[in-house]
Amino acid sequence: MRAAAALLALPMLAGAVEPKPVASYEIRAQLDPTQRTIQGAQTLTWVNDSPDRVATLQFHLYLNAFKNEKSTFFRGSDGELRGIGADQKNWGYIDVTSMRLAGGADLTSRMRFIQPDDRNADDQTVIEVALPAAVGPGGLLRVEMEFVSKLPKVYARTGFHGTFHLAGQWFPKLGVWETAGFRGRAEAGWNCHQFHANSEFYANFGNYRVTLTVPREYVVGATGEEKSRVVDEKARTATYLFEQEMVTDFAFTAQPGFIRLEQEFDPEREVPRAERAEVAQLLGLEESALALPRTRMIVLLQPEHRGQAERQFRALKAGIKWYGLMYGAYPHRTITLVDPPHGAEGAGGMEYPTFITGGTGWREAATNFFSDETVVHEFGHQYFKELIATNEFEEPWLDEGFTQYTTTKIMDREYGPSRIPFTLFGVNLTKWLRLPLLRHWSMNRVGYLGGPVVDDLQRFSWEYYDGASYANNAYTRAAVTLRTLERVLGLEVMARAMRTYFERWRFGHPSSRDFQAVVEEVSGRKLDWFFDQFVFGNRLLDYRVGQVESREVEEALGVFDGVEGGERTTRTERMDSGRPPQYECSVSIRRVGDAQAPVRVTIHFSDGHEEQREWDGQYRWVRYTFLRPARIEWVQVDPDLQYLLDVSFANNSWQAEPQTKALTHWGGTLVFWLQNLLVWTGALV
Amino acid sequence: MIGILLEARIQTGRAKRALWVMWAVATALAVLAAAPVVASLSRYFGHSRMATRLTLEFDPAAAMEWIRHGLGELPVAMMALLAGVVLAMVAASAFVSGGALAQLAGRGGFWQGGGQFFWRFLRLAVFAGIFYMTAVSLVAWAAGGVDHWFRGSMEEWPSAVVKTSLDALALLLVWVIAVGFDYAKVRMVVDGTRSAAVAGFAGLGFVLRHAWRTLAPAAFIALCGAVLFGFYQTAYNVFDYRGLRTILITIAGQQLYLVLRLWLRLWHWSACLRIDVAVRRPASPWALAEPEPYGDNI
Repeated sequence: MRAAAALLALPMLAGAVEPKPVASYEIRAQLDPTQRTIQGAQTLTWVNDSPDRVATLQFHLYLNAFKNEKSTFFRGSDGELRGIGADQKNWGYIDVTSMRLAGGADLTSRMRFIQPDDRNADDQTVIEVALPAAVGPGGLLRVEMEFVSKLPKVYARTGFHGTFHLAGQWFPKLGVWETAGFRGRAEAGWNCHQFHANSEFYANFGNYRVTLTVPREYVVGATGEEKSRVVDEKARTATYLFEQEMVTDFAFTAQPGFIRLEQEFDPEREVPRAERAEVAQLLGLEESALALPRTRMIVLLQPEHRGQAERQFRALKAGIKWYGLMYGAYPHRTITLVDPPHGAEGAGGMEYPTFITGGTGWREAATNFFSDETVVHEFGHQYFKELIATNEFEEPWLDEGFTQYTTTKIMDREYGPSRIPFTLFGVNLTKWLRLPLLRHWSMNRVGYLGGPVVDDLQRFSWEYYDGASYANNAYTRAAVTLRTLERVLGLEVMARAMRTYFERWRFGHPSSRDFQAVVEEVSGRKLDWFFDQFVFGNRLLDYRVGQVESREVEEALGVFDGVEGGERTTRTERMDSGRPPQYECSVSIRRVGDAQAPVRVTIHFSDGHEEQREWDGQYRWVRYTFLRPARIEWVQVDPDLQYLLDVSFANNSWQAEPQTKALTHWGGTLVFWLQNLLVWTGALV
Repeated sequence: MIGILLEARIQTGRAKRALWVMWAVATALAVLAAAPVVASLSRYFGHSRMATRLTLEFDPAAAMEWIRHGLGELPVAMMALLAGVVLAMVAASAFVSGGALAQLAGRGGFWQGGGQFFWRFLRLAVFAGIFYMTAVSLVAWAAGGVDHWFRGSMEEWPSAVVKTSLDALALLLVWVIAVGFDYAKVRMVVDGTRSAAVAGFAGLGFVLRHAWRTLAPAAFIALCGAVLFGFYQTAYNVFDYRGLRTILITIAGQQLYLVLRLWLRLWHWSACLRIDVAVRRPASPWALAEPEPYGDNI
């Protein structure tokens, strides 16, 4: 209750979503680590917050995706996710053994599997239940269910490995009833998709009260705050009570060997005044508006990663600080970070409300920030997806891309660039060998440029061409698109738009067009040209410098009529006029890609003079001509590097002087490497 | 051992031609392989202002840009060209090592020795390849076994330690095989052995039977190579590559480093010859003759 009051006390923006629980769960569950099962009983309290009469219920049974090879998830993933394969001997499933209205009708026989997305009759990840009577607008329904969840060997977020258990999407979870017009929907209905290989999740906000019984030696972490722990010595079990208000999910982990560490995020210590002032100025807010609360950080670490505890806390603090300063204070009291063991990497890199999984390696190099970035990224999902609960099935870029965009800024700010790690006998030789810096923004662009270009950025997650296209569009291309939008609007405007979006839509379910509306409102600009091409479309952006000429103006030869009836003259030789030379200069700029965007062009002359031009980019090319006493020295399209989406920066510029130094350097280095390769080859034979 | 190494070092002066031919061959083949790549880079970045920024700091996004939009059909051709260049180097190494060992052993001039031992050394290279593949395959198989053994483990460090040890073992095996086949070449030059199998097994057996006396000098010369690399890299880090002069100085320095590396190779072969004579019992009927004033003569 205190937490709910705290949430409601957060500054309310005009038009902001009012936080109210729609689907709340009270769950009693017992984990049997030998059978890998969870026996569960839950009471779902659902409020029909729509103007519709609802005659059915639809539930996700996500664990049935791991039941057999015929599930939609398995077919779409070939039994693999993020490079980790399913264990053919340890499948997972969930059986709903009973369902009834509280104090009312038995619904068990009314359950039937449905496949709203692909008509795969073998997929059992969605059930529909016909209600004896429709629930009217504002009506409240309580449904009691009993179920058994069998955890698979972990490879796709949820499951077990050894004594480690991570239960995600483990209980029957209600879909989202969307009224007509909600998120652009034509007709009212349930939004309850099957579990696909490339999809994640979507649910209403609610209050969770979960009782977990596990063997007493197990260390447990979960969503929310631990309210009590009762040990039953006779049964050798421990029963935990966790509570959390206004979240969309509940996950937990249990393992006997976890090292449980706690620290407090103290804003007085962790947020330098200068940083708060800097962000306040950027956002146009008072510093007091950026006050952050204390947050309890719990890290469940594997014993062999003990030495990395401070790294994990540092990453959490970076996330809490910067997400909080930029968008708004993290509203919950706790955040739990789980470090899965070796062999359970499939459980890593995932987010649940107030509960995230990271993952690191033994002897992780200090210059390799992958695990740190994972923690910052997964914490970032507390904002994009847990607090702004977008539909990950239908609009994956709204959480992954937004999180990737923000996380990259934080990593560049807090950590600086990564380097490819190289150690020899414990000595870090990365800097000495001058291994290249890997700036986080540059790596986003690497992903964007290297990914397939076959889909619109915004698509239903299972409708991308393949997994690589999903990953590129949802993550890196989305992040580069947002960064481009930032460059187009300016850092200040973008920062204010993002904060407004968060404050208006936390505890809500916005769509891509809702985000566009916020950005247009804050910037005062119509941005259909940007969103239609780069978010809802697939237009390639590529400007290039075309022909560049500087031709000295010479006296023309030939026969010339006299002026005003004067004598006709003939010139057959060019004479030195003694005047300084003049040049006819022309520059062509070409639009090679399909995307049309206004762009600035700088033309620099050898006498230091510069011309600026603005081109609307509508036609395929434009030509600028000048008559000047100097040649063109260089030309730069998009000098401010606004369009990070441009697939080629190299052709955005031209200079008269060839890049002899660069090519000599690169050519010499390449020849040297090849010489060494050949000498090694010769040595072996 | 120190005495042998010192004598061998002095004796490398007999094979100056081999040194410069090795350098010339490696350079020519490297330039051949690099040319299409540099041509592509020139087309893509030759008049772009971006190249200036890239000389100061490598940008992986720029590299990806070039790969996706600047390379065209080059990668396929490059793979074929690189494979051809590597094969050419194998053949050239067979010739050059024959010529070098012949000069070092006083068995004739560089060109004569190269021609005389070319086919034998080429067969030996194929035979060595079988040994390398076998060694690497065995280690890879063992690594697979490690993965299977530790598949249920919740800790990374045991398998990481074992696999690191296996990697080190693989490197050691490759190195021992390489040294063994250097001694196989010595057998072919000094004894006149024609069979690659006989020479190969003889060389490997010799190294394994006299591990300390054969591998210690080789390790010492390899250590000298590591120190040389250390000096090179430290010097390389001094420059910032903004000016053409520093770039050209670096290129010159890189070539000097390469020549010294090749000289270390000659020193190693010279040491192998001396150790073979000193250690093998019964002694080779074609024991190393006293140095003759061959120098660079044919």
